[in-house]
Amino acid sequence: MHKVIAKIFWIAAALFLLSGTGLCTPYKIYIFMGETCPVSRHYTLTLKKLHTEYASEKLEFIGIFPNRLSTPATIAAFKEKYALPFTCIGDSTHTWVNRLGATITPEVVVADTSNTAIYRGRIDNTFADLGKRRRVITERDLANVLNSLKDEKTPAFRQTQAIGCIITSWQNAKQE
Amino acid sequence: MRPLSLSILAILLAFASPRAETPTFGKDVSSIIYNNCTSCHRDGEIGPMPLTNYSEIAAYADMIKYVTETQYMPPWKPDYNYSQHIGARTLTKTEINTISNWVNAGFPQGDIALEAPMPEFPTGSVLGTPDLVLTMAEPFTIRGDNVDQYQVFVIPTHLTEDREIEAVEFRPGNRRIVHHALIGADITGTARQRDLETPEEYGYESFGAFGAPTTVVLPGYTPGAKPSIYPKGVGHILPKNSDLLIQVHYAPWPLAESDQSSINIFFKKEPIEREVGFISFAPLTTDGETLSRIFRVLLGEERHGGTPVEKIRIDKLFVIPKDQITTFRTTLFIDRDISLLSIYPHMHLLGKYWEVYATDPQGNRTNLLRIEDWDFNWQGNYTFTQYQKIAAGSQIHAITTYDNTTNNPVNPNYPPRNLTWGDKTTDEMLLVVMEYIPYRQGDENIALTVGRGGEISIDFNGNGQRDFADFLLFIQNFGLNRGDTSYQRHFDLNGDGHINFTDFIIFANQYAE
Ligand code: HEC
Repeated sequence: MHKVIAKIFWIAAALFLLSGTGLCTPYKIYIFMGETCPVSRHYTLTLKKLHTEYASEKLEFIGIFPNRLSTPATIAAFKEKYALPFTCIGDSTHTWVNRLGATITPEVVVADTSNTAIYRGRIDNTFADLGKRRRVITERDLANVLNSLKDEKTPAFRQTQAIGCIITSWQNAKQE
Repeated sequence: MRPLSLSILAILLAFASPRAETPTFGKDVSSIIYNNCTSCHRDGEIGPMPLTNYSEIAAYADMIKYVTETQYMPPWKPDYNYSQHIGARTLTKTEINTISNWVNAGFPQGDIALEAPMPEFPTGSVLGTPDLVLTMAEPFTIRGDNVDQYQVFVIPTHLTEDREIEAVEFRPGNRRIVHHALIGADITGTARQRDLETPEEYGYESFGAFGAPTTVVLPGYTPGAKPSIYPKGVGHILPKNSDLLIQVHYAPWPLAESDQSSINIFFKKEPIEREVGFISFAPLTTDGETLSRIFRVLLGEERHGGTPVEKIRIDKLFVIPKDQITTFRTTLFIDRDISLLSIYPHMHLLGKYWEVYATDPQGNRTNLLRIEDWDFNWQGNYTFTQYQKIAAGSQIHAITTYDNTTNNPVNPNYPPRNLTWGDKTTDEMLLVVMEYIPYRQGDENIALTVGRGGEISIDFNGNGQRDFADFLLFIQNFGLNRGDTSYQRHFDLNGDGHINFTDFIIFANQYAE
């Protein structure tokens, strides 16, 4: 009897959790950023606007800082200075970089609950190249993906080339 | 015979250093970065990420490889192989390869005992104690909306007499956001009036230039550039009661930061014999006549005994049709012997290509400037490493190309529109301003160095004489480039980062004196 109650409890708990995550945060918008990368700095305004417009229980924004020298203090300072309204975490060991396949800051990866990417790349086409800033933005890639998700449509996987600072790969670094 | 065998020796010495083993930070890379990047990339400067030690540099290793291979960094727009300008920021092929090989090899730190010393970056004035300091009356706060801002500030000089100027040094108040600055003087009160018309803000917004006539245009500021100093007997005159105008370009920035910049002015110690004048071209009409008159007044050319520009010609009206790439050919006809000191090219966002060169009546060509990939954000006034003699009867040609298609990402109009001359971001310009003085015999041998007073010394061993021992020292250092471990600044007579044939000519001239 005791055991049955426990079983029911655990099943209920598991169901609750599953449906909970399923309902509350089905999609994550991971944004790879560098505290000292000028393109990341530039996009803080755009990200704030996108957050205001789209963030919800179903769409969660998370900032990830993969620079080798990132510390909780540098991340907190960046978050405060540019008033970023979402959670920011460090990733100097590149766990997230490798899992989500990011190579640049800023680069976004939109992923579903199973952490499968449905979009990877630039936020929009402001930068045609380093230092080449469009005066008129013509492609708003991230906003388009977020619009579809808001309308409960899951778009097919898409990838674009992000422009910004290359994330230094430490895999073959020779440290002595 | 002797110079020939010595230059062969020099060439041999320059090629004799073997570079087979893996580069390390300590031995090879630290000196390249510290001497070419750190002036801008350190705390409080415009370079976004500090590059001041191994861990900071290693953390950006792949990016540093990328920006140096693509020659995006260090920022320097003129083609170094076309003509030589003071303060050129370039890496040699060898330096670029060293960085790439180092990154490919996993950016090893190596022996830290071999790490290059950090150059001394002056905290105050580069030139010493100024005679006059003019500061913005109040701080100016940018909007912080990621849009460039171009603001003109009017600062009264309160000079009671005309003063002769040796050097002008712009000191940004906030180096992170000040991208560049133009400096001029207005005696008409026009700028003051414009400032009054916008009482809600300090200064007034003007994209193209000052938005007011200027009697003198003084050397402006770009990050990392050393202030120019006029050689002996040469300089500008800052008129009494004039207002100094500074047009500051604030970089797009996501925060509302503020800036209060100032200008250090150094007066001449000895009188000016040749006042610097300006020649300019800007093709408003095909005959150029109307325009040159306008510009003569605008740039105060009349004050300098009349312009040496006989006429200006442009191959077509200055109209840039949409969806097209358009090239203009402009020619200035020069009626007397002059020496050029510097060149300031100016166009807006459609601009792609610049080439300026002179041809003398015999058909000899002097290259003045080429920019393959014009970038409005990195415009500047380029001082030649030596006076450029332009003989009477010469023509100065400018070839300029504009891309008014959608392939030009910085096109201010989407879809493109027909554009012509104007002050706004959505207008275009074709303007070259050159500083000149009347030519004097021997000008072409004078180096326009960055040292105060324009003096250069070839007494390398400091024994008070220029002798053969100095010559040997020079030859031993020939071929070295800034970034090489044994590079020493005082052998680089024109200060362009390369101890090469140009320096040899300067050396030979000084030696012969
Ligand atoms: C004259 C000043 C100056 C010098 C010298 C300079 N930089 Fe920069 N650098 C800048 C500025 C300004 C930016 C930011 C450009 C922007 O925001 O568009 C920058 C940006 C960068 C970036 C980031 C690129 C981006 O847009 O994301 C890297 C990496 C960099 N520099 C590396 C270097 C290296 C390596 C050197 C030396 C070989 C160097 N810089 C020399 C001023 C300088």
